[in-house]
Amino acid sequence: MSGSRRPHAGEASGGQWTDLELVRGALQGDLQRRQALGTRLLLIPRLLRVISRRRGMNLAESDLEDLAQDVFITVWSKLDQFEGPEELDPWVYRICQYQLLNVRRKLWRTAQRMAPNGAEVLEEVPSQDADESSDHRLTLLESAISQLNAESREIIQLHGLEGLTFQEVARHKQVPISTVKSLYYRALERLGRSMGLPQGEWGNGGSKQTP
Amino acid sequence: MNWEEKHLWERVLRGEVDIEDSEVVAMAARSHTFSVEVEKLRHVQTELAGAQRDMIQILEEARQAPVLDKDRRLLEHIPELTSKTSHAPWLWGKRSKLSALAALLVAVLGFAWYQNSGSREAQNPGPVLGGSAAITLVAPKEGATSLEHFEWQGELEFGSWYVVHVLDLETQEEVTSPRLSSHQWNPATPLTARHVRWFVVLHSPSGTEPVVSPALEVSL
Repeated sequence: MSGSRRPHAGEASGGQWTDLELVRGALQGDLQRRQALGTRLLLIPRLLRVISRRRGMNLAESDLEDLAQDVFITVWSKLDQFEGPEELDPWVYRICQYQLLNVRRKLWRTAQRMAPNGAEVLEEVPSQDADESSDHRLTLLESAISQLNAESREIIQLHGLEGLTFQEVARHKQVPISTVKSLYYRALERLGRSMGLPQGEWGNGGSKQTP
Repeated sequence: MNWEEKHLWERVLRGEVDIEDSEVVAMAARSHTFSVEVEKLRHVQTELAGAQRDMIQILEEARQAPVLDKDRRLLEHIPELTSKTSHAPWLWGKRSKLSALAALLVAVLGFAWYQNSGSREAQNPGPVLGGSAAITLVAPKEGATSLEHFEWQGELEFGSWYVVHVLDLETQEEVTSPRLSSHQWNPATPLTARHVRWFVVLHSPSGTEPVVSPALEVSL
């Protein structure tokens, strides 16, 4: 996957540090980096608002505030796990996305509990965006990725979503490229199954089935 | 799939060849069954590319969105990120198991002290009686006219709430704040009492016993 890279996070901090330097410095108590990191993390509530709107969740502002508090604390507590080579913003984005996915599941479970006996509740909260099918597919994909094991998920995130090359991922993971490729292709197979692509050999002329 | 196709497919899954490699492309051109398997992987790759574009758009939109005052207040949750050392009364924080135990201990000791402090005379402003590191009451300034002047410092578990209890020592009537959460951190309950005893009770959504702060007697 070609993968377009976003402006480097260091640029957002005045270009002084890479994201890894920013995070490590902040964790070691460097005041300047902590303040820069704090400014960077103000992205969290804005991200949640945008994702929630685009996924058609339309959460109340108070719920978004609570969620932002939760994500903020989660991000801070997991910062020592941030190792690069990915950038900080996508890393934060994924935590936001995961938390929103949990909220979505919780809403679905609540709806299921409250539904009359025998009534079927759609698993996904309906999107109200214009591009509804696209959002639905994205939600399915996000859900499928979250079900992968940690190793496969990381490969998919770094190569499939972050756009790092197989070589970069292999260097970061300190494993042979073939191992990264193997994990990646097997993960693609699993994602296909989770997303509802037909299992086994297709016999319908090869037409793709949209989930 | 025949043996040759299966063998090549296994090589793809072992990471020995890419699905863009010529031998894979050639096999897909020859075999419909094989091409279907390749298509499935490409389909997921296409979805991943869509997700990547979506993420980039969302990040760009979020970066351009204005930072609201309430967004900035989030920084208060991580005191290390700010130069501030004091906590606002609405400050929330995740409580570790250790601090939860400490809070429970404070609750027991604080409640026991409160039960035994009924005859204590008013002080102005008094020290934090039985104070602890977990919950510290901040003496309201003279002339306090509402409950918003009654501040406390400490951690509040996510999803929990607190109630400020103020007892007017002259009338023996209690002026109690509404249930307060992060969205109601600025109560404007009017207050006319001159001598009060006050304390805070933290309620947890997990159903554990409420945590009662030490009480403080003050003249306003």
